[in-house]
This record gives sequence, C-alpha cells and structure tokens, in this order.
Amino acid sequence: MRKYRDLIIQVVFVIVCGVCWQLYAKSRNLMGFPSLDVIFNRLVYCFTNERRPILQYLFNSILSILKGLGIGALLALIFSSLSVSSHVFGILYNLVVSVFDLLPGVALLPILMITIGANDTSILVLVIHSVVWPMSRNLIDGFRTTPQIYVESGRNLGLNIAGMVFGIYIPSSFASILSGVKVGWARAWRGLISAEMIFGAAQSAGIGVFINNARTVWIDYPAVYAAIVLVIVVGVIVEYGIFLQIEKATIRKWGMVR
Amino acid sequence: MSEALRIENLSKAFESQGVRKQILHKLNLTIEEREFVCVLGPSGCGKSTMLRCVAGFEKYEGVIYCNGKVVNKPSTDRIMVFQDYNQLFPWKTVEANVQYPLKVTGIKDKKELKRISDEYLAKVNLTGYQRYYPHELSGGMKQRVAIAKALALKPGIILMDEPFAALDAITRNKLQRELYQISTDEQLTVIFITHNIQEALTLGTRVLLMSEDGDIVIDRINTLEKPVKPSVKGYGEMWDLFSQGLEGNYPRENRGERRA
Ligand SMILES: Nc1ncnc2c1ncn2[C@@H]1O[C@H](COP(=O)(O)OP(=O)(O)OP(=O)(O)O)[C@@H](O)[C@H]1O
Ligand SMILES: [Mg+2]
Repeated sequence: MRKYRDLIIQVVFVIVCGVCWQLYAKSRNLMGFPSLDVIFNRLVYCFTNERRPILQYLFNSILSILKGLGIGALLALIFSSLSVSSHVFGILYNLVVSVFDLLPGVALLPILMITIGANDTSILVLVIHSVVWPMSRNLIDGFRTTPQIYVESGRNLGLNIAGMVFGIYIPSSFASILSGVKVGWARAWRGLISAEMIFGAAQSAGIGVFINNARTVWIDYPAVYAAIVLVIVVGVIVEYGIFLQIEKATIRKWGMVR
Repeated sequence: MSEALRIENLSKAFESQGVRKQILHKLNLTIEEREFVCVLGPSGCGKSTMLRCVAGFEKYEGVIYCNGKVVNKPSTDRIMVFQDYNQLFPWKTVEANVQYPLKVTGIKDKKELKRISDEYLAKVNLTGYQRYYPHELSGGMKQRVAIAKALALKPGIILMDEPFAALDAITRNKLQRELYQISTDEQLTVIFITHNIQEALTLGTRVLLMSEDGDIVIDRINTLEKPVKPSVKGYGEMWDLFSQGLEGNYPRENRGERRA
C-alpha cells in the first residue's frame, strides 16, 4: 500500500515538472529550451532518419562500455584474488587502488591522447580505468569479509584456489561485487560520454559525439535533448531492468540482503 | 573393530598478544570404527582445538592418523559439522548444499546426485525442503541439512563441534534422537563435542572428559541401556562422575589414555 502511494507521489511530481517545463518552453520559445513535444518528435526523427542515426551512436557507446566493463571486471577479479592470496601484492595493490580511484578518468584524457592517440583504445582504457578500481575495492572487501565458516567448509572439501574463488569467495561476496559493478558502470557511463565529447569524432562515434555534433555541426538543440533523454533511459534500464533483476535473482533470493 | 583415528602426542599452542599458551600437551587418543565418541570438558580447555587439528584446519605437533594416513590438510574423509547455523551456503538451495560436496568429489551424474541428496534429506526428516534456501529454514533445520550434507559424503569420521548447542531444549532432544537413530543405522564413526552431559550419555558409545589443561582424564565406554533415559540403571552414577569431573574432581588414576 505504502509502495503504491509512494509511486503515485513520484508520478505526480514528474507530471508537475513536465507541465512546468512545457509552459516555460512555450512561453519563451528559446532555441536552447525546446518544449517536450519538440524533443519527443526529434527523438522519433532521430530513430528513423539516416541523417541523425542516434541508435548507431548509442550502439557504439554501449559496445565500448561492455568491452570496458568486461575487461575491467576481469582485471579486478584477477588483481583482487591475487591481493587476498599474497600479502605483499595486497598492500601494494591497495596503495595503487587508493591512488587511482581518486583520479577522474577525464583528467587522464590529455595523457591518453598523447600516448595512445584520440582513438577507441584511449576510450577503452578510460572505461577500464573507471571500472577497475571501484570494483577491486568491493571485491577485496567482499573477499576479506567472507565468513571463516564458509572458507573452512570449502577447505574441508579440498577445494583448490580456483575452486575457493569461484565456489566460495565470489558467491559469498556477491552483494559487494554487485555494488562494485554498479559503481563501475555509473562511472564508466559518465566517463565515456565525457570522453567522447572531448575527443570529437573518434573511430566509432558514440552518443557523446552525437551530442557534440548536434550542438556544433547540426546546430540542433532538440537532438541534444533527445540524446540526453536516451542516456537517461539507458541508465534507468540498466539500473532497474538489469541490476535490480540480478539482485532479485541472487542476493535477495538468497536472503543475503534485507 | 579396526582403528579409525589415532592421535599420538598431539601438542598445540597458540600465540596471542605475544603470549604463548600451550593448549594441548602430548594428547593420545585412539578411536575405533563405529565408535560415537562424546567429548565433555570445561569451556576453553581445548576441545575445539583438538577437533580442528583432526580436521586439518590447524598446524600441530605430534601425529594424527586417519584410516592409517597422516593428517596434514583438510579432506572429505573427515567432515566437520559446526555449531554455527550459518555453515550452509546461503546461495545454494538445501539440495544443492548437500550435492555440492558430492560434485566436488567427482559425482557428476545429476540423477545420482538427486538420489543421494533425497536419500539423506529423508534421513534427517527434511523431505519436501529440497528447494528451500537456508534463510528460509529454522536453526534446527539448518543443522539437519548440515548433518545430511556430512552423511552424504560417507566420510571415515564425522567431527561435530557442539552442533546442537544453540538450539532450544525440545528441538535439541528431537535432533539427538534422530542423530542416535542415524548413527546406529549407518554405523557412523563420530567425535561429538558437547557441554551437555545428558547429550553425551544419550549419543555416545564412549564418553571422554577433557580437563582444564587439555588432558583426557576420564574415558568410559557407555554401557547404559539404550535408548538412554535418566531412569536407566547407572545413569545417575555416570552423570555424577562427569558432573564432578567438569568441576575438576575426577579420579586421578584415570589419567592418560584408556587401554582396553
Ligand atoms: N586462533 C586462536 N588464537 C589464539 N588462541 C586460541 C585460538 N583458538 C583457540 N584459542 C585458545 O585456545 C583455548 C582453547 O580453545 P578451544 O576453542 O579449543 O576451547 P573449547 O574447549 O572448544 O571451549 P568451548 O567449550 O568454550 O568451545 C582457549 O583458551 C582459546 O583462547
Ligand atoms: Mg569449542
């Protein structure tokens, strides 16, 4: 019941915001502040028209991010496993993580541009950078707090290192792994779009490039808004359509979160 | 009867806060197959430490032989059942918890796994709970699953460290009766640690008392009539013997290892 009421409050809020937006946009008629129907029509136009192939741009971004997330997660897994099994590696890696985790990916861009060049590899490095450190933090945290009793149950079965990592440590740390992936994804998604905007047209242009083109080349502000809407929609789908579903199918079902 | 476990001159010390504390000093113990050995002893005397050495979780001095092989690491021929309810993996269903160790030891056939897990869950009266997750079970049910999981592996010896200690009295009695039945049916070899004299006398075919300083000071074959009730002949004497012993008053001539 309460949930239902909360939902209504949220919906009403969104509608009120929409109406205010609409009234303001219609009354002022500014180029940089299009009304909602204009944005919506532009979005439909972008979906269907060859001249603004927004889905192609979006697809490129999603592809880069999936690649980066995959590689980043794999690296985080390897480094985190090493740092819980070797003390020296652990303290060194901890240091590395604390340093790099504080560094916004965009701040690395000038260096990447000069060393690697303004290409897809730089973007990939940037996405990996946004993913690897927060994920490592969470993985190591999860591994360290794996209850002794699971570890001993696993050892009792004679599991080897890989068996312990995949059979015990990972499932037992699933909650913190998942929150690590969430943080990693959010940073990567934002980092990616900023990088794309700064780079301009890289080899495979992403949604950030689209926004930039809409602003500077096509001078099409409704398209800028359309792209922003799309970025938000993707975020919402990932958050509720993917992460929430994974959570429901795992840690919630297992009773590992309240 | 043949020997299941032999502990020779087991010594174990812990170092904590820079102080070395000797817990076990040259402990000797031999356990035959099909013995259900209950170990009583005051808190902190080293019962769990001994069990953990046998399980292979701790480094130790001396030698432990299990089925003739020297113990130097954990293995599925010595399965531990802990006191903590939360020893099951919360990410696996009841049935998967029982099957997982079997898979690890090489049983791959799904039907066979299902048959074994059903069989052992039935033995602990949990038929119908196969698909539950541990968080959906009560403490007593979780301990039953842990026992089923250990039994299914058919280990040479089962090591139980106060598995019923955190249960209420009624559930505890019920689980004792179940475990007694299973242990006679399956001819289990068990080391069972407990603080509860009644529990030791009910379950054990042999009952030991470990003293404050980690020696086995009483070692009795349990000849009480089964099923053991407080009303059976000799119960009172046995109870007194161990009750006194737990307070430090044990017959001094019994020191050292029992020689049959
Ligand atoms: N990892 C450890 N580090 C340091 N000391 C330890 C460690 N484990 C156990 N001890 C010490 O060893 C002694 C024996 O502990 P143990 O757990 O074997 O006792 P216990 O007989 O099982 O007691 P209880 O009946 O309360 O479970 C205790 O004094 C404890 O402080
Ligand atoms: Mg103990």
